[in-house]
Amino acid sequence: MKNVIILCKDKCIYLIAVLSGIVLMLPFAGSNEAVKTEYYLCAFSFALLGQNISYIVQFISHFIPLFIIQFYWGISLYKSFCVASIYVFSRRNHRVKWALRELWMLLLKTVIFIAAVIVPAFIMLTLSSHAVTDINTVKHAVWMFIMLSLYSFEMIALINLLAFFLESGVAFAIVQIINMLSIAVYLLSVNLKIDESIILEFNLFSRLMVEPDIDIWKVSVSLLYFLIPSVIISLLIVRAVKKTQFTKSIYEGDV
Amino acid sequence: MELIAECVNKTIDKKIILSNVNLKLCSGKIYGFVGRNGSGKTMLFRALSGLMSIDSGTVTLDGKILHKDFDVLPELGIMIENAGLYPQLSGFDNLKRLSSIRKKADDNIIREYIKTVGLDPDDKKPFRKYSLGMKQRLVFAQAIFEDQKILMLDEPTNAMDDSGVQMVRSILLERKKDSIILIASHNHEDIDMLADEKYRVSNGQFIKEE
Repeated sequence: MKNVIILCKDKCIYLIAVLSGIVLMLPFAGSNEAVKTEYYLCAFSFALLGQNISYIVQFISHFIPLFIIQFYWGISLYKSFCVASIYVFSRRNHRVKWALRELWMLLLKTVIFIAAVIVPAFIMLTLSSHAVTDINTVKHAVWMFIMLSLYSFEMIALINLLAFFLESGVAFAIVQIINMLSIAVYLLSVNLKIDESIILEFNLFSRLMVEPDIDIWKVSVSLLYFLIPSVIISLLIVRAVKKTQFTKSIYEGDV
Repeated sequence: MELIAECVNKTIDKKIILSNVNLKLCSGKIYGFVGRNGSGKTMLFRALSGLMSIDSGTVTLDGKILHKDFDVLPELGIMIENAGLYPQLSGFDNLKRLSSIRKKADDNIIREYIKTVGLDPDDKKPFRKYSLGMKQRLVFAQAIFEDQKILMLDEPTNAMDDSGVQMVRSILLERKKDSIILIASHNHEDIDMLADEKYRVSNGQFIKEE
């Protein structure tokens, strides 16, 4: 029950998620073409956008929901150490348990956010266009949902982790620089004089893409690409929470 | 209850904060700590409570070891100078949020304690708009409202008017019989009046005054 109350507190952000998903799908809504739905849904995972700098506007616009979530929950865990922290943590007997619970809630909230972006948009597309929805569409949507959830959780956790060692604004900026560099490298990869496949192997957004014809090997590797760092970052956060010392008041303002 | 610190040492940035501290603190007594700013009084509270790790030595509560059996002392009420509460919340909401951690105090108890420290539980003013004395009263309330049995109070009467000082003194004397109370203060009158045992703190060393 307590978890439900915590999740409901963020209803505003879920509303933003629903709206941004619908807005991104609006251009396809009235289409009369009998295209498979997953071709439209691909917009969420950046697939089918070309490797060309002219796609930057689409890329950035598709990135907006992911940016919002990183901005909103980026320091959600760390800020517990900023305000009233002495009086909070003098009451918490098991910090590790607290950190694990917070990370679990963060994952849950991220999953709900991504679902709020994809599901209403998917329903709207199905009802308002001639797009064809079949079992492959559902499979595609599920893979995309898993991948976007893991990517978002990884980024949110990374901002929280970096904030323990740097100022929270710097932590957020570093992660956005990583995001922007990844987008830039993806868009410019065909122009770079290095083997394109090697660059894209380690590119965040290339890994995030789930193409309509699912290559199960590629998505499985991508899954590990997001899963393993997420676990490592979570463990490092737990360690940081355990090791944080209240030798002075950590205060960054009313965050 | 018995809180024991044995050979506790702590150094931060090559500066000795606590040097071979040995203390035996029991329920039913108030312990006063006096010393200059930066002498180590507040750091002792942070170390004994578990909010800060120690380099060597042990802190035990009734035989259970701090940082091994628990992360912070159970039933701890602490008040650290300059450490504020949630700035955007009212007094009542602040205590309500804190009470959600231990779940020991309901709304009625929270209201009662806010009244006890001389504040209005229905006041919607956020903490950041409180005067210094009001802030101090509310922080004192958070240290005692869950019937905590170990109180570590750093300058508890700072910025308080006479009625506030009297309120703090009478509550501490009332609580003394079943609690371990530690007070750090510049105010010699507080220490002389309340403390059963007095320690002078200098460069991280704690010397008992007879």
